[in-house]
Amino acid sequence: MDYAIEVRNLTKRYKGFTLDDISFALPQGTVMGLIGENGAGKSTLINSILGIADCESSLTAMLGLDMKTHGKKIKEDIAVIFNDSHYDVNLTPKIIGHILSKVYKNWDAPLFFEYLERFNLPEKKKIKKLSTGMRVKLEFAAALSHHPRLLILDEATSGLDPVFRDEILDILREFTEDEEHAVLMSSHITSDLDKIADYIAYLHEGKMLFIKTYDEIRNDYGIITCGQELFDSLSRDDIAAYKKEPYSYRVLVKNRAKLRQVFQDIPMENASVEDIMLFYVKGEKVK
Amino acid sequence: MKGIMLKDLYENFYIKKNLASYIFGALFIGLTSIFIDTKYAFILYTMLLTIAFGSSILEASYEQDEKANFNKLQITFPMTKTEIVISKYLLALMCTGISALIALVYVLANVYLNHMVTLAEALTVWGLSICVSLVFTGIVYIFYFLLGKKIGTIIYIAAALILGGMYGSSTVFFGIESYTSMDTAVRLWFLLPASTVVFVLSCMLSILIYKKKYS
Repeated sequence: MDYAIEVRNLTKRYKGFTLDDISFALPQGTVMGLIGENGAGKSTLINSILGIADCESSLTAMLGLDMKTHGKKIKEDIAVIFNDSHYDVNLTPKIIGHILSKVYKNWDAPLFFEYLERFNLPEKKKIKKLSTGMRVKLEFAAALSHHPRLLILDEATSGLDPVFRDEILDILREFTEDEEHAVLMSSHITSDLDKIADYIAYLHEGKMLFIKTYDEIRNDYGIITCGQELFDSLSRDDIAAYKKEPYSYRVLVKNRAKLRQVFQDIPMENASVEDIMLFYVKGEKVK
Repeated sequence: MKGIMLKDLYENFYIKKNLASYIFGALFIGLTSIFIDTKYAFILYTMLLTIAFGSSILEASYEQDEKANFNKLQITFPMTKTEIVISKYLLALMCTGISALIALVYVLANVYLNHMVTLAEALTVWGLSICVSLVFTGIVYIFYFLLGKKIGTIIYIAAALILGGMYGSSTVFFGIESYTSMDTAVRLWFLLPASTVVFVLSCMLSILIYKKKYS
């Protein structure tokens, strides 16, 4: 299998925080959602992969090439969008296009202007006069106009209203229609990931808690609301986390199909990515 | 590297407030040089013309980079951290070259139109101004990379004041002729390569600082 990103044993230490021994692989043609609470290490992981922050790792490869030895070549084929525009607000989209045409070898100016038109972005209007949503759209136009094969989004859709976010998700869907493209997307807005992610990677306090396909999450996880008796009869191995409520337990189970065979009549809700995140962070673990 | 240099040029000359400060500076030097035509002023203006443009080009772009946190984005561009720093120094060198040419026109005008100095004296002052510009830019840039725009600008102003003070006191202690003498012309054969070395060393140090900052 070809991987867009392959990371092995990545560790980054800051005072009071360690991103600890992270390994994962993102196959080509897929979207991976990176989730985790604030300070879990999502941005640190992205910065480390990109070389914005130095880190220790036995392998950090993108698009089949080692980042340490082929960083420049890799960066020709990737695009990164952060949660805010990093271009000077006094510049215009047209000038940004001119600058980037000197940055990327395969910059496609007609495509860039096509995106500006599609997103209704006035090419001569200063960035400071664009709305937040328009600025993010400009970032997308700039990011997609050098034909990247890998898109990395660090909370890029935060702060956007649902209509804008939906448009962005459409762009991402279009982008990943081609099997040569992949997306790594960190986001707090887990409903976006529900719509688009093939894989979910969950970072918690600097550690990778799990990486699962979205189908695995849908098929494996479920939420049961039950009393003490049923809770006690559940196998501890099947319980991911639980919350004690006044007269019941809400239990996140991780072996949904098996439990369904044993307890055929109990109601079991589907667990969304957000449910799983909340259970892991706020719920209790069985001992 | 071309992209970063182009961005810096846009930030220096497209943004109105930055462009206005260049126009104001040029007008100030141009107008005052017409009215004050002494040898003392000639040397001062030649120095100012060569030094100011090349050394201040980073100031505006660094301010904009810090405001927009552009450094984070530019590290994702297909270039190394070393190339990012080198592009800043190359642009400074280009701007110093352009301002040295403008200064050359000024000194030649003072040779052939004002008849204030001889050609040899004019070229000696011009050569000296290039040396001072390279050293001044080299020193100031290190502080921009090390301490950022705010403190970098304070250092810039302080260094400019020290330089002005040194010029003033040197004319008192050694005389204005020391700048145009034959000895100084000969010393340029050593001073030009030495100032180039300082500029290159400054670039290398800034690369180390930049790498450390973004690690």
